[in-house]
Amino acid sequence: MKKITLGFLFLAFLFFTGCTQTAPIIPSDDAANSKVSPRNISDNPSITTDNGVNIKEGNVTANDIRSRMSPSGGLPNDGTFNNSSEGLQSVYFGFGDYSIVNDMYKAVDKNVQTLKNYNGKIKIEGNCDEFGTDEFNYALGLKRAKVVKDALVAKGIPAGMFSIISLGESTPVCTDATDECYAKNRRVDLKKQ
Amino acid sequence: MRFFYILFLLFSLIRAESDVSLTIKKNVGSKAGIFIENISSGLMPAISQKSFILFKDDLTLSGNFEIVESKNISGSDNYLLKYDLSGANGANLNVSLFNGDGNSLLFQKNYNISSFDKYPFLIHKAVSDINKFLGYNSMEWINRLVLMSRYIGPGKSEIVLSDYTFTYKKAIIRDGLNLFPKWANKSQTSFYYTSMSSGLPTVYEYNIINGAKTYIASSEGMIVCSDVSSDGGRLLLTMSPDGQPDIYEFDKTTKKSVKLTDFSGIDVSGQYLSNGKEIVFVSNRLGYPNIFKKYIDSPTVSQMVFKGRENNSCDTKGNKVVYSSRESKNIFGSNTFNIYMISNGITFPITSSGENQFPRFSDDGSVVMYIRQSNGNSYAGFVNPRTNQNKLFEINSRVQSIDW
Repeated sequence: MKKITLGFLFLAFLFFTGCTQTAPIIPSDDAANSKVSPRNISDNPSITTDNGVNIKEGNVTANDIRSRMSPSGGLPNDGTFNNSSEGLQSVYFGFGDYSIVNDMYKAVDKNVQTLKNYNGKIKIEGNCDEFGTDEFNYALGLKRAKVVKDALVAKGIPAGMFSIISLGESTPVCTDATDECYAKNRRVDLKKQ
Repeated sequence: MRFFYILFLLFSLIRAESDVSLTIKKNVGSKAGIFIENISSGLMPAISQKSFILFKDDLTLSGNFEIVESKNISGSDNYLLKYDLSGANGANLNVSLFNGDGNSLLFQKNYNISSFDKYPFLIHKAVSDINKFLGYNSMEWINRLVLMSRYIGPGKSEIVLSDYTFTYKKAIIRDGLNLFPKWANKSQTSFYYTSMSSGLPTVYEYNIINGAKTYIASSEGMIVCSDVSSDGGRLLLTMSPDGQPDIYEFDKTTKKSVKLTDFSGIDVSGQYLSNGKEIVFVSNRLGYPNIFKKYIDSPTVSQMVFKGRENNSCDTKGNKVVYSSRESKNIFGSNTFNIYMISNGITFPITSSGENQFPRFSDDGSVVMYIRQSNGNSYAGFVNPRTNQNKLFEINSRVQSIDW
């Protein structure tokens, strides 16, 4: 009997302590039920695909690319993927990351060899995938551009050769909703001026 | 023993009764019934239908009205709203508000604007006036102009002016990459934006009255005007003159900048807090994006949010903060982002599903706008935490940044 009484008391304790919490207001915001589709809006721009990247798409399947991506989503740098000026190599990054992974130093070294014999100016453009918001994505692109510049300068290329800019997620080379496509957009391009 | 059972039963009954009374109170929340009658003639069917939807959405979002389908709604808290929209002299709107049985005219007003495609602004103004006339809380926020930067192709974006429902839209800055629009003053006569056209990221101030464009500042790498002080005299800029994104305060009179943050990672999105004495910002100083704050004249930084692994966008109004937080862990594909509000030391969610980002307070702080991304399209969501009203409007564009 005493056990039953204690049981009841325990239940009562749980019951009443539960009342002390204030539940947050979570409004339902179901797009399907509440969206409005104005019929008189005629300006409906959409992002178009830019195939400016030099990729041998014909022989590389999505699964091939995915199997060669690093766990963080970075692309390998064997020359397959590139969006930089002739003789230069784009550097690819992992998701949300701005450090140069080991295999990307091959691209950095290739750029060093090319730039040793180049007297013009180079613009280093940092780019991101679409998964980020607002200013943070542009800052991420900037950090990627800066880290590539620093790596080149550390290997003897004069800092005065470079200008850096972040293009954020504004300049995708691929707009398909696929992992490999997002990986192509997380890059730093080197453009001869 | 019996005493405990009786005590338990008694408390249970009290609690149950308490819940019932709360429910009744909420349901009785005294929303006025309102019947909307469109007496316009000569409108294109699409415009006629759209104007009705705008009235309905505005009234519903106020949290004070319940749209009724029957015209017979007698009673002191019920109303009949008649409107006549026409293309006379641009757009012309006559609005009359009667009591529920239609016998007594309570409010009548005529509105006009120079071009017909701006008619949504007339409807928003009429509804906010009716709301005010009936003594409800202000909903002037529906009259605000919205600025957004939208992507129109790789490396191309334009800045668009719209009403809050995105029914009216007009591109005002075209060509090149134009980013991060931010209103320069409360009267919404000019705004700041980042232009990437010259190769060096530059912030300009654009006057929407006379079209004048004024240079403000430029920086290698990136530059963004994140916030404007309440008197309009100071700006919070994210700049990277040495390749490092940090937050600076720019004085419009002296044209000088003072560096407010100094971190080797990322500090962005500075927002004034507490009448401009403090700032809230996004930083990855803990290894992931999160919300921090600091006094303007002190180097000490304190963490503001202790939940979530990716809190990468924020806005402030007075002492209130809203921020977006990623709540799923997909490296690729869609993730759940929700918007949270911090008010009086309490943090609570104001969205519950979807990919919701870019939270922005209304000018009076009563409503939060956010952008929901879904299947490559963007929707503008509005949440009024006081009335628990919310609404999504389709934007038909991919949004880069937004302000209102």
